[in-house]
Amino acid sequence: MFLIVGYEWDKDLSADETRQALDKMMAWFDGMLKKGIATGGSPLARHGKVVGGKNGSMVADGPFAEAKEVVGGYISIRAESLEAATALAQQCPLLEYGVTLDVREMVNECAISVRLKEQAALATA
Amino acid sequence: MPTNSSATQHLLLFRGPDWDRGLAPDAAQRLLDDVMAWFDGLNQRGLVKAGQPLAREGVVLSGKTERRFDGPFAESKEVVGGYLLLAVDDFDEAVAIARECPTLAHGIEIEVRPVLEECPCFARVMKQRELATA
Repeated sequence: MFLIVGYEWDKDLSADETRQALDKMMAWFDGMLKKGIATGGSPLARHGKVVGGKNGSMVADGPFAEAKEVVGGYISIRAESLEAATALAQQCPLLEYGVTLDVREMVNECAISVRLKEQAALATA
Repeated sequence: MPTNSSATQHLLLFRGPDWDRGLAPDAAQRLLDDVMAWFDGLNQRGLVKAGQPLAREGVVLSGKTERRFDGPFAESKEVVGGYLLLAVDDFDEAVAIARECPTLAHGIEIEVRPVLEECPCFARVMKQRELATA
């Protein structure tokens, strides 16, 4: 999965430059969709809520981060390895406008579950 | 303060360090069972479009640099540990679902974000164009 980090990357661009950047971004994404590499993806609204605390007692307007650290969208892709995914991510047209991509492997089981199973296996060994 | 009422989906981003820290294995296992029951319940109601944990290690790419991370990032409050894409069109309902996540009591945070059809930059470009031709 690519987490596309950075909001307002267009703020110093003219309307034409922004339009060109968006066209390149859409062409890149559509190309990956057509090849079956991308399995989904969307932009996200700038504002939402952040929920925390016991029983979700804390609900605040968020995210709190500065615009450049806010997740602006995501793309889920199929790739054989983190290296292959990284090579794809390097082609993202928005990188040159200061956007950052977090390339992360989607796993079937969370690390905590794996750890608990290992502990259980050790305990019964 | 979300104003976008046209969103048909909402994305939950789970952030924070591993929530099992400081818990005995059986307590962690019970909590994990609670999480799975919460998730399965949402799934049975047809509210889950997608959702998976994310591996802790990964690569951060920017225009100029490529940075790999593991270890230290796992401690970070900010790191996204998983996501859940909800087929829920009402923002408040998405927030209410997030509040029921059993691991909230153990230091995680959930960011609830409306999923857009169109990048907001695109809307800005169109508006500027309208103004320019007005």
